[in-house]
Amino acid sequence: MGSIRWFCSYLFKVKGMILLSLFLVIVETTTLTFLTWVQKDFIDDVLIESDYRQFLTFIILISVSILVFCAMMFITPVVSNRGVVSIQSILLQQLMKSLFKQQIGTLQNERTMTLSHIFTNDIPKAASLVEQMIRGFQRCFAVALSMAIVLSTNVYVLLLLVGFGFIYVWLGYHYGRDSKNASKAVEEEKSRLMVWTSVNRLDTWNRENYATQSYICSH
Amino acid sequence: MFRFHGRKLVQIYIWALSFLSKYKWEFFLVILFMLISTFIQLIIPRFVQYFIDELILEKRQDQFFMWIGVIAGLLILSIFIKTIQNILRIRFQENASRDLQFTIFQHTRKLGFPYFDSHPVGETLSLLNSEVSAMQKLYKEHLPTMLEWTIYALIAGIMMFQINFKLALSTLPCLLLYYIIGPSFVKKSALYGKRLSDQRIQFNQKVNETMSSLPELKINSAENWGLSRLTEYQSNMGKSFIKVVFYAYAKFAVRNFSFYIGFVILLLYGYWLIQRDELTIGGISAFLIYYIDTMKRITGVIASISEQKVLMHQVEKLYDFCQMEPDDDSRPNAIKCQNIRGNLEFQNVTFRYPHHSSVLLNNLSFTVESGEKVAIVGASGSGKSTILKILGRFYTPSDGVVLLDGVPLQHYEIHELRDLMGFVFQETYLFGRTVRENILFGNPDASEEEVIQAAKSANAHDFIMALPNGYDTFVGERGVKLSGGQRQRISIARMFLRNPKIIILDEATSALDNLSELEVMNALEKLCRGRTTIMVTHRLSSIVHMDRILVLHHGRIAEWGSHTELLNKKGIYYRMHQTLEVQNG
Repeated sequence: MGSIRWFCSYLFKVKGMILLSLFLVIVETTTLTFLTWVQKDFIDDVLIESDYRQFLTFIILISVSILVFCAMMFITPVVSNRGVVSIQSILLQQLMKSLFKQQIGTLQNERTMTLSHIFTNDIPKAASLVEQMIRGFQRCFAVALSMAIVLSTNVYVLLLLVGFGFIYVWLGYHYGRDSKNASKAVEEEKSRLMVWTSVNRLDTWNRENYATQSYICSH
Repeated sequence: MFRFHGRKLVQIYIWALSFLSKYKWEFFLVILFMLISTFIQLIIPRFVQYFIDELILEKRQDQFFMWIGVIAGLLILSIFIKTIQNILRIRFQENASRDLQFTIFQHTRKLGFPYFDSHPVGETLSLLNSEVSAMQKLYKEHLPTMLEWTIYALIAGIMMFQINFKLALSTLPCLLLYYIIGPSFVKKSALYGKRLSDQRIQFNQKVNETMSSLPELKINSAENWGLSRLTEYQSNMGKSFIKVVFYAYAKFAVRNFSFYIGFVILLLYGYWLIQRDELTIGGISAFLIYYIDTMKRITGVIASISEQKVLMHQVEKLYDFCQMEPDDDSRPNAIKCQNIRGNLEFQNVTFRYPHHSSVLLNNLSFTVESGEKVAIVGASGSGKSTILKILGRFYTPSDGVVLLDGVPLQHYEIHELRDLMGFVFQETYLFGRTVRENILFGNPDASEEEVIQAAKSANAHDFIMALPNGYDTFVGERGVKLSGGQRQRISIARMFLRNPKIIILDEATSALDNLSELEVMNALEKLCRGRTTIMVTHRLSSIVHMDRILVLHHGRIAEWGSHTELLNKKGIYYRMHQTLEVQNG
């Protein structure tokens, strides 16, 4: 929880870009849903009911929706990834500054490779959360919009969908915890094994097998 | 503008896939399950067609629930098969990924000193991190998806033509639209992808450099300099990343545009065909399901191919790395190091680094008798350390030969030869583990008594016992919790455990204060007793009692003799000694 709060404090520093991204994903999702809705009406009213007076209107609506949706498809990621890059830069500067504040003795106690791993792996991963959060919001918004549409059509279908949705979320939560722990362990081991690869002394002491064994154990 | 040579691309791809060959049976099973689940997925739209045309439109309610049940059953079967397929797929992917990382790791170690001397650690780090991840992506994301989607798209394409030939033909212009516009975005995206990959390596190198020099940056108040350097590299990387995202998503946008336009065309043309009784409503419904799925998969395959092209730039770096041959000078029938006395002889040895013209050692000849203690002194760059690297066979002489007991070093089995030698460096590398584990590095099979005896011989036992947890004390990263003299004595304790025939000391006391030097010298004296010893140093106080001193000058032996003999010659050694005395007041 603490790390989420800590990370959110950085999000405020790029709030303009995040708000713009959120607005763009709303437009993107709404357009896509609208496109599906228009297609349905087109089939119902024009193709089945043969109401050809609406033909031109539907074609214009479909074309505009396609254009807006396709434009949003690449504008949104560019904006949200600008946010990712900004967060990455802010995190790098903050972490470097806090490293510089440490006592020299403390720095000497840290493994170079562990620190490097934070900058080359952990920061990019943390920053990519911005994009993931925006995409997460998009999914939630799409679900809310679809639910509203289903609700307006048939409440029982909605209840059925919500029931299945809960089972899905519960399964994800249940297995997600294990998977989260496993991936955390993998990252830690990866960072640990980097230490071994950088040691020239292994050659001089003819201890490649010793290092290899350590590598296998940590993998 | 970057461009892969086609043959090399194929070569690299085959090499990348070769890591899967060990798991060919799992791979075969995955393909089999893939085919079964694809078949089930493909049959469902035909059921839908039958369902609409024969049951709904004909109002035959008697079979309604039966067909609903059939479709639901097929979906459940498909999910079940997909689950088994995924479990098998993940197993072979993870195993192949592990094998890959292990191969790179082993190769890094095999390349040894010459590689590390000419490549920054950050570069290796990047290879093991980013490039390996990129190649793992091939197995984990691209290869299985590409295979599955290609199979699906091919069979679904046939089904579409079977439902209505004209309607199937009408989808082709939209595919072509994507092919005309798409590739330019793909090229641009790949171009910036390559740039990004290069910049990432540079950034990783700089990060590693900065992390290694944090104390120095602080001491010299160069924090802002260090930070601005990193920020600059990161900013360049960020710009390229945004360009990659822009072109990659522009490509997606074009793809979706083609897809939706095709969909509209299908609706219009399909309606016209229905009016002319050339197509049923069930037929167009099945066709639309195939169209949506096929387009999704075809474009997915195309996207995967172009993404793989970007990844291949990273894989190429790994491939090139694995093609690097270690400078292995071993003979096929290397001889065992048995009954070695420790006589060393340099015969007309000349050495220059590969691709460098300057000569470091020039026609050098000297001998060291078994049990003799020889010191090598000289100015920086005179070639002292190079002699030691040649002795350890980390480098091979450009000309001439080094003999051990009259046999060229290259004739011996390399690992046995290195076991004969014990190195003590100026900077002792201690692992971030306990004192005991660090001493055991000298001989992992040694007993507790042997470890303690080795520490006592190295004058290290007393200070170790004074540490908070004795032999179980954690020494800190690179042994920073210990003083330089203490680290050196642990290194000497390692050597006692190792019990080498030849001792090689590379500026072993140069970084120590006078008191520590005395303690370390006492320990070294015990260690070197009865062993051939070669010591490189610029600290003349530590070589007074050596049997012989060689003075190197520009890669040649300028003088040699005992300490007293050299002082009497009043040559280079004498001048060095005088300078030292002046410095010491």
